Amino acid sequence: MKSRSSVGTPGRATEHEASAPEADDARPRVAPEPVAETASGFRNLVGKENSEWTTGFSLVAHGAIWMLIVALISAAIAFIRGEMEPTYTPKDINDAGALMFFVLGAVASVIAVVAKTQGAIIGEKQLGTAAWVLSKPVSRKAFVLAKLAVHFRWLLTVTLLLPAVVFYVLLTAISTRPPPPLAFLGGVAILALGLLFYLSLSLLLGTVFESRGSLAGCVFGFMVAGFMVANYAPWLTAAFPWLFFQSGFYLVTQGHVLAHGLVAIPATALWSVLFIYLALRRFERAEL
Amino acid sequence: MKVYRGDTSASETTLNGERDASTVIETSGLTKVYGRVAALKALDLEVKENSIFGFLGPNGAGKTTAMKLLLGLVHPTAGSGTVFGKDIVTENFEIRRRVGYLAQDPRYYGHMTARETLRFAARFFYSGPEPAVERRVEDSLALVGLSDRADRKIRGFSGGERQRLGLAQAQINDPELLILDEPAASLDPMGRRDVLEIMERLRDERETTIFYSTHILSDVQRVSDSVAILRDGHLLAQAPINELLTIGGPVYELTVQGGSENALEKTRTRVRSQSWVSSLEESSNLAGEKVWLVRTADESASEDLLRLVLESQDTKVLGFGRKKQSLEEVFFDLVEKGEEVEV
Repeated sequence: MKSRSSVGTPGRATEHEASAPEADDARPRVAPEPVAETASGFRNLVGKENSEWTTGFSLVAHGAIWMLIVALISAAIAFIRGEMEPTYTPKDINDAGALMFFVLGAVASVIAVVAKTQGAIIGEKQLGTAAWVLSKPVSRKAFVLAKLAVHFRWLLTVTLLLPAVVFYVLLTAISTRPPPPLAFLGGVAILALGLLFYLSLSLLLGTVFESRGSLAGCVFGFMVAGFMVANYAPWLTAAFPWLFFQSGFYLVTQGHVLAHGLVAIPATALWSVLFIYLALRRFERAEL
Repeated sequence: MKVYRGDTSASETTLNGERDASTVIETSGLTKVYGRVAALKALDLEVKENSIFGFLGPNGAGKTTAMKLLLGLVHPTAGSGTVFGKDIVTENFEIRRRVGYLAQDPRYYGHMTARETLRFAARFFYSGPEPAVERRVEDSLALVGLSDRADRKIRGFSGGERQRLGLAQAQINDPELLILDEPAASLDPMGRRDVLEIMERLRDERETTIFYSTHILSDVQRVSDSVAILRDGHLLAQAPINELLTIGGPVYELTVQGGSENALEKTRTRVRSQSWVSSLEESSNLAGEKVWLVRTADESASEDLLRLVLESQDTKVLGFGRKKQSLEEVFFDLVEKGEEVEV
């Protein structure tokens, strides 16, 4: 390590620093200003989470995979059905494509949540980066909320928004008649709420478990359980986002959401808020 | 026995109730239990401002746990502690504004470069202006000799490079207190020397208090002002290093030659019978001369001891001096006995 005649700069010595000219620089040295007393580090953490998404191939890989699965496969199905059934009207083609889009979109968002966030908290706890960051003046709430905000932003973009735009354009080209745009947007919004639900569940479980496998198993298990529950206890589907694909599909094709879906939407929103609240509380007490 | 140092015992409180400003870290009965394992047992620690405080102990002694408790990263099971007079449980956010921390085996975000990591750390403390923050980052990189690797991704860094980066990020906010968990680990001898120099300069030039743990006892002896020794979560000793090295009283080494064995025995008995003599151990050196290690109660006994032996008939003093104990000797003695001792 190199020696210096004077160790470092500002911080405590802000005033001194500001007035002391540098030996190699005639200009007075401007000292960095301390952050506000109330700053929690949220903005800085959001920047870090964003750079984690955008650096390397993560964003491109996720973007390509979900574009292929959610948008292109759905559009291909619509195209094939139209080709196979000459009697299909443009609406029939749109309906066939929409069903695939909402089913694949719902499943893709859960898989993407698990793939991307299973280590978001657990990994940082295990590696020691959480302890490092939280040894700085950072609030634990900011640490969790930054992950929630940034992961939601990018997961929504790569698993739903971009594929939705591409799918909508392709479907319109295939069927020659665009699906009702507002209803389609509403359907995507319902899936987005489902994404938020699974993301908040994943973050909550990240504060509970010490292993990624347990977290992934629980989130996937919850999704799969939903399909079985739909058969044996259909009333339960009104409390969770299990049949959100159906709600989105009905909204686009029929112009309305079924009764259980109408209940499931606010219920899922409430669950999401509860999971986030619990994640914040648990992480506040976490030992790092 | 319990070891407490005379000049810095307990926290002083003035008549109007204000705390002694010179105490940076103070803990009282600080305890941490994980399940059935007590990682830290009723730690009473006091670290004075502008000092380098060495925190020693074998692996698993509870050093890292104590440091994490001070930063609020783990929560105490019992007891209390303050840093800058602020409670480590309820006011740890305020504490972290004024502290720099280097973890044992530090890890950072692999997708970032060293420069980005320091920038990221700096932004928790500084809002701008950007050139000033960048200059702070540059200075920190130069301080630890990482300027030439500033734009390399951290995932390719060696343990030593990560350690250097750790030291750079720990002092990025010009902290009043640096908590360093084994700062010289993973470093080669030159890197270790540099770390010690940086620590000394931070103390001397910026009046930074440094609380650090290490296994390298020679380093501790070289730079520390005070030392605490921990074993199995239990504080064995805490004292300024000079006092710790004279645990049990100063030891004098006398090389003597007697006219006869009888004469030597008489002198030995006379020395042992003095109230200020704690012990006398005899051995022979390579020349066949007798070497006595005499432990006395206090410093002022040296003249009395020498006079006593010189006055004895048929006993010649060939050599006399104070024996310096090394920290290593004291450390092993304390840790192996496992008893608290009083300085």
